[in-house]
Amino acid sequence: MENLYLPKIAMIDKISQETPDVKMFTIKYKDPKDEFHYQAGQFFMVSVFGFGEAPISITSSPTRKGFVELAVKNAGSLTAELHKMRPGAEIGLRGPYGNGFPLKDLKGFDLLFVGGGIGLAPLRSLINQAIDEKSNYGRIMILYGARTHADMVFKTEVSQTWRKAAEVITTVDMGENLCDGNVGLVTTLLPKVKIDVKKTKTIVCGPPVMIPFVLSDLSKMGLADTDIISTLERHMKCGVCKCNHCNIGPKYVCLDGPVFTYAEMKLMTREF
Amino acid sequence: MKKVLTTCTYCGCGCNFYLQVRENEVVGVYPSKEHPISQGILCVKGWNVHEFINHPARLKTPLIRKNGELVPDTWEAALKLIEVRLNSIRKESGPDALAFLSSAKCTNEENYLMMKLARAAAGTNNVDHCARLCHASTVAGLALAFGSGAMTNSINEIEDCDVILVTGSNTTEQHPATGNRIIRAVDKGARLIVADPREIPLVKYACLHIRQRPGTDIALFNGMMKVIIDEKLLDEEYIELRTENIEELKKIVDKYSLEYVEKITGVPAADIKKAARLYASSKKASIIYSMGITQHTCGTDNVLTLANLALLTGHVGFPHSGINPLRGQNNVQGACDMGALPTVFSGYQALSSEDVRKKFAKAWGVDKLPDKAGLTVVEMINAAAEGKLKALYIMGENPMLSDPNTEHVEVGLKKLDFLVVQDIFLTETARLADVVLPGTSFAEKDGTFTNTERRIQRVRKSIDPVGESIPDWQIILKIAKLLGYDMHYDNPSKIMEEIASLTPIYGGVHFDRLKLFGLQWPCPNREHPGTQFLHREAFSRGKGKFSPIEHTPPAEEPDQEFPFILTTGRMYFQFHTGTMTRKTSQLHREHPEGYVEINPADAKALGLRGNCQVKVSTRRGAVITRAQVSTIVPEKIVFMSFHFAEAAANRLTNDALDPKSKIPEFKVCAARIEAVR
Amino acid sequence: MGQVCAIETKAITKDNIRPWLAAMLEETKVIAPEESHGDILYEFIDSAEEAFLDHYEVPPWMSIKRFFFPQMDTILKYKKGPAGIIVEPAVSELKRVIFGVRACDHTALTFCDKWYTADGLKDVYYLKRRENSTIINLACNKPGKNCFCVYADSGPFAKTNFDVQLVDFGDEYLVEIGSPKGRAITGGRYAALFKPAPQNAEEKRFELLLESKGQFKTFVDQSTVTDKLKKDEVPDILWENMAKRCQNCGGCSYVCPCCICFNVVDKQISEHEGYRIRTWDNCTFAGYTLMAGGHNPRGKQKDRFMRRYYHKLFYEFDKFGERGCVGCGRCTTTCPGKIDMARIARSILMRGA
Repeated sequence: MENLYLPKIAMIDKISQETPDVKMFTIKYKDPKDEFHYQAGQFFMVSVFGFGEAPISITSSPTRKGFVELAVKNAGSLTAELHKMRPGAEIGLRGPYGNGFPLKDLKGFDLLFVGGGIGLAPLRSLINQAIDEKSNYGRIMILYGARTHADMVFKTEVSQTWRKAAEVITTVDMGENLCDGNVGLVTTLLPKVKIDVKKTKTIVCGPPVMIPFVLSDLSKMGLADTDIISTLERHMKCGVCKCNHCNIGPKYVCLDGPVFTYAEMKLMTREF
Repeated sequence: MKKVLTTCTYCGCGCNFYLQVRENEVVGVYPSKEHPISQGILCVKGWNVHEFINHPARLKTPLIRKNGELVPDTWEAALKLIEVRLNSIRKESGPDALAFLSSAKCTNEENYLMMKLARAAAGTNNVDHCARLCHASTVAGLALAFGSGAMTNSINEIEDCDVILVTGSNTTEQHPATGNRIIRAVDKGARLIVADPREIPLVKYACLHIRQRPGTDIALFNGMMKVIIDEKLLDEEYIELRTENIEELKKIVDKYSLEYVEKITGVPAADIKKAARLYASSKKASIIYSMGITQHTCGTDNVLTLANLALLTGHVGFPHSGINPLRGQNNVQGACDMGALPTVFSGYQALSSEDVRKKFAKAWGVDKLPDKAGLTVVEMINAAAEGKLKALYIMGENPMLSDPNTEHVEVGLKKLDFLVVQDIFLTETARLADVVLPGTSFAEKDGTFTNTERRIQRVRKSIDPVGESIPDWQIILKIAKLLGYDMHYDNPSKIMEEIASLTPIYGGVHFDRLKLFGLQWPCPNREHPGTQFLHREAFSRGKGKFSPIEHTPPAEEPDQEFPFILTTGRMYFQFHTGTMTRKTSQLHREHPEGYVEINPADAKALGLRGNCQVKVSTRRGAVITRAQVSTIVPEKIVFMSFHFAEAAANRLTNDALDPKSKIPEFKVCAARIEAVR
Repeated sequence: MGQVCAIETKAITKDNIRPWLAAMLEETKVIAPEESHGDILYEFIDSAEEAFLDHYEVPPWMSIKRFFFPQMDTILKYKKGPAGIIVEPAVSELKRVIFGVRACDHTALTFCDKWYTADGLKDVYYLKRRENSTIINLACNKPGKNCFCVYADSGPFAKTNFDVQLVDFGDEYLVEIGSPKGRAITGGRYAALFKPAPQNAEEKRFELLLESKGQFKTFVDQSTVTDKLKKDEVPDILWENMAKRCQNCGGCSYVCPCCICFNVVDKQISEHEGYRIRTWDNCTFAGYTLMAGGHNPRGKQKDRFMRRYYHKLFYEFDKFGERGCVGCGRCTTTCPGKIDMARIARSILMRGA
């Protein structure tokens, strides 16, 4: 019987400081025989030995092989410890877990990404995949909001790389936006894109306070609830639907999620 | 796997549970269903008590300070150093340059030995423990009024009260098993009066919540007494037969008109009247109090005032009627009973009595025992700071977090020539020690704890001592020997036999009688079944004594510079200085950090948002913590718990003492709150 | 006739129980009810004499859950050496027989079996212990005062899935053997302790079952409660009033034989080594859902409290066809706020629209 809780040892290969409190870790398995097989939208249970385990969404694209990238915000004791680590340090990985984005359903559609803060991390995985497999999709539009310009993650991609293949608009809640000048909540960007609601699927991720506003605005724009997709985050201890922490109603974020459509989320109106 | 029934190491309720042991490790816990207190129920701390016992951070070897660092060493080296240092200090500066802090976490047997170590081996009465910080005023006050300073009723009696007055006790959080009895009583129809500035969880069950300003309890209860006297609700027959000094009381109380009391306390006159009538006109009325009453510069007077109130209405000396101080630690009752106090031997036998001293000297085989009263906890720190106290031996206490005015404590401890700390973890205090000795947790030794209702219960060894740690009672024997005094006991039951032979209230306490669920003292002889409630037909001192008490304001009151009243206490998921609870994952997760509770109106005035960082300062120090904006506290009053070293409330608290019992005023000081930008 | 899912039936005289336990002890570890300070508890016994075989109020205090899903269980150990981190799992391989298991706890185990194998994801720590255990049920002829298994469809006699079930016939027990594991501890070297089942066994068993069913004092109509939850017919104010009484002790889930929530934490022995434990958790704690950034999707006590009951009576029933409550009544004993399953169900039935 396979032991679900046994992490594989992996090594931090590269670290980039994305914002003052977000770092991106490029990670490889220690045993070269182990390979990464994952889908955009999935997550790994990351072990920092001595500090526990936490779910962290994958931010690299499955089209780029041989490593996985995880963008991590320093928000608790485990992530603080991770932030102290240097390249070469060893961590544990279990997974990938979760359903991932419904690529089948997205094929042939225009994709509108709406991200807030560190919420761009799981979207980045799909964005890069879509760019790499551009022929499968129509337009790629990316709306990204951060608290300040300094809090923007993946700055090179947001300001340069992605703009070659996609339409990118950014905004900041406060201060100066050195990318393209917009200041205001991410919802203020929605009217700036002209979309064909019949041909578009949107993928949304951001802080818990942002998501409901974006979803309802998209809905008002005429998008069907099944065409609005989001990825959720919950406190999680196992990733394999045993610890029981991550449920929303009868659904489990680890197994049924973390990707849900707005239609599915509407059925989860109550939090228990 | 095996299971061992033992007594909880957290609060004074004395729940019994089974520790589950696998390969010499405690891996689980569950309550006893038949035990009179537990009844199959535990609080969250009890349910998680197993986790700290085998925690990897347990001290496993002695530590000795070398070049400023504490480094592991052998028992031989540690004991040798202690021998040399303690003996030379005693020789140079006399026995009173030594002091001993005993522990309310340790067993009765250990506390008895610690007191014997101080008095017979070291030759000083400088022995005290944390009861000084929680119920010294109870011991002093109730001894004066009734002749005996303990809870008069039993926990289970509360369930059948008609009226319960809870004041200065957050019972459901700090004494959950007792709080549970209060809820059961209310479910059965009892009326609950809560007199507490904070809106504690029990308020949900109360018919009346009185929110007196901190430090105005005497005025409040004097006001209630005036209503009772004016409306002739007093128990004249009881007063006539069982009390003395009523006329003196009446004289003082007369000036506490409702208007006057309302002005001092801020409590509406109608509420005072309602409380007085409710309390006085019920047959089975009980007062439950804790540190909200005792931790004041008028702590003893507060206790005496409650005693007056109970005597006036004939509410002491019956089942379901009485005065019930809830003791904070698992064995703080026992540590007091054992005489780990600077003025009494075990069983509260006065040091000042020559007969008592002779009795103990004879039993202990020494020529004479010191007769000068010893230093109390805060006095020890003061004496250390002044350089008069040279060596301090601390067993299982953490004054760096638990004592008021931390900065001053640190100065005192650092000034000592020699500090020994015996504990299970490297506490904030142990970090300052010259020698640290690894003691054992309650799971690794035999003995007894005495709970808050005077129930002496067995503590049973479940696992062998962790690492090289040694049960605390055996360490004390070694220390005594170093000081040239030999003590020998095969096991703790032999120590209890000596205690029983010298201590009338424990006279009938023997391990073979404690097999089931213990005995409640007084238990003077082997045949005696123990005592469920005190003062049945007569008070321990004969007649109950009224002591006329005037309201006195706290040592420090708010002013322009420090406009808030800071009051301190504890939280449900943590215990005391967090030494054990913060190493328990579930408890730490639920309450990982300290905060200051502040009323929304005050927060608004200061421009504070929930969860923002604030600086709380007083004349003694400042800490940075999080603001918890909540109506639990009234306006102009803020509350902090003292569990967290990184936001240590006791850096702020006032070390002003009650002159009668030397308890510091943890519950009131003037503070300033500022946002941290 | 009472439906019996035994592959074979035998009988054993009461005098032969201790010799049977003694014989098993020679081969394996045995867990049996034991008397301690008035409490009846399941514990490992060292000799057959330690087992408590007289009558007691059922069920024994604390379920057998902890022998499969311990309160604190080391799941792996790690070491950081020059060659990097080495992780070693810690899976228990201990073989044991559990004697005197009541139908409620047994049904709870089958519920846990479903949970720990659900979605094709198998929990090795639980399943290894399960695999290594043989369970001897003892049917309840007389329910305890808080018992309501009969309404949870989980007792007083186990219907299926047991290894061995004993039914108290007075001087002897009817021995129902339900699995190869059950055969192993009643046949072979143990066979001589048993005799053929009495002639009228089936009738007698049926009578005893009926008699037992007639003695339940706690009535909990779980299916109506489930219906009301599904139809969202329980007013919020009921939950609010109940949740207010919660004392946050965690006891309800610690004693519940069906509560499977766990927390996982690491403990450091030193900078270079440590271990990972999993511990019992409770969904009514605020920290259960609190996220690292400070957001708590179930910040209100009421929501957490509802979650507990929605799960047990609605979601798990939908997923597994079984409720996460077997009617053992232990939460009635342990809940200081008196808001246990039986009382909640009763209030829902009385007041839920």
